[in-house]
Amino acid sequence: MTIQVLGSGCPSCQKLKAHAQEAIATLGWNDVEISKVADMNTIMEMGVMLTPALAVDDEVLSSGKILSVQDIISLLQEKQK
Amino acid sequence: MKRIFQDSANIKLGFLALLFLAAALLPFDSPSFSRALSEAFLLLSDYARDHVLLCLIPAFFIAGAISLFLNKGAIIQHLGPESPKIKAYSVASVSGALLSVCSCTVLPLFKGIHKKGAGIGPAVSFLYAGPAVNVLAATLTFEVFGWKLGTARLGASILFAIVIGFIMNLLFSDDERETNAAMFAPPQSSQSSSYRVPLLILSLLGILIFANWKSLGGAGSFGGKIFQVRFLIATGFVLLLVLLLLFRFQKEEISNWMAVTRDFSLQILPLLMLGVLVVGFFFGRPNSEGLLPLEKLMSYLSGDTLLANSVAAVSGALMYFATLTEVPILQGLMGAGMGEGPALALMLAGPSLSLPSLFVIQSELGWKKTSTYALLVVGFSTLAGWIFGMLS
Repeated sequence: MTIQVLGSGCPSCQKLKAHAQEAIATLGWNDVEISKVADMNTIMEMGVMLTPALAVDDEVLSSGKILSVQDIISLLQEKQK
Repeated sequence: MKRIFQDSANIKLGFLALLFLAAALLPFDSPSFSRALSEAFLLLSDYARDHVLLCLIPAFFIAGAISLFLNKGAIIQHLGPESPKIKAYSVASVSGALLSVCSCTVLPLFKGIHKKGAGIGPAVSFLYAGPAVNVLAATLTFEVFGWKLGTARLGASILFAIVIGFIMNLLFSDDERETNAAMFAPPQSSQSSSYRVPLLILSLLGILIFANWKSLGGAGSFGGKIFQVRFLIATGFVLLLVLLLLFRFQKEEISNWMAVTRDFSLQILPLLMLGVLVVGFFFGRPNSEGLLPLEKLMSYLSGDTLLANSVAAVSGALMYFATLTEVPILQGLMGAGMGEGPALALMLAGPSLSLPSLFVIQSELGWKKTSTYALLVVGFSTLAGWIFGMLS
């Protein structure tokens, strides 16, 4: 599984990435990779205009919000099912 | 050598060394230097007393509420490829206030509207209005410069956003677009269709406006009468706010709101504080002088000539202002004799355009469109400043 954090690298995107890292650590999933998507064209092609956004394996789960660690955990658990 | 800089303790020591070096070398005993230093802190104290507590803090809560509770998808759906043009322009011109965009979210939205949505016109409207029409900037402008300049700034920003976007659309066709209506689809969740969010923002606006009511006109006038009962009205709005929060919002929503408001404040207040100190140091408070004698510079900017206005608009377009710092800077310049017209021109061209932002826009639009955009902004700002100067 790959978690993608979409955003230009502004403070809110970095915060979202930190939350995602914390969520994975809490879940104890070792096979999850976190990648940053900073290229604006790629972000557009993924259909996102409000950054920061969070996607898992190219599926956009949230945009325009800094999700809390708890939010990300429940999104990931749902996705896993 | 590289390893020395990797240790954060070494970097701290470096800073400390620089501080002591500054303390040793700066001419604290020179009268002009120590006057400038005390001017810096006196201006900061003015801001802390008059503008921060009653005015900026409620504004931060409003900005936080807007960015957290307002359904952004509901606004964005009006900027899609099939949205009627008039609607797209008008939504784009005020959406800055509603989307509470910081510079890092402007660009993706701009690109999205340009390439996938309503096209270059509304995209440019949004690009201009995003930083210019926002709650914090409008609040501080009204508070520091009064309602005349405040209204002129807000009104002209919205008008320019529409007009400049419209002209860009006339000049350049956008044929290389691949519209994508799905990106602008209205949000599915309909939980936002409630009165609680507008009421929340209304009660905060009420507190902001009435707690800061200035006594205009005599005691007998309408404004004077409101001035006498301003805190009573503000308390009424506080009551409404408390009731709303108690009965219509969940604990978690409120704590999220607090967190977003805190982050906004942390982002903006340090820069504002630094900006005020620097302005106070170099320019002094209104009616007193800092380190730099500004009379020479002001001979270009004083009065309301077309030259003064265009100098102000061009320098505004090139300079970079951190959010809100344009206000203390202008206060310093106006204290030294800058006219109200050029001040308006600088505010209209300033926050939306800067040398760095021009490069960023250029990467999306190319130099031809970018320079046309910049020229339009500078031209209209000059004109507005000139007209405002003649009227006031």
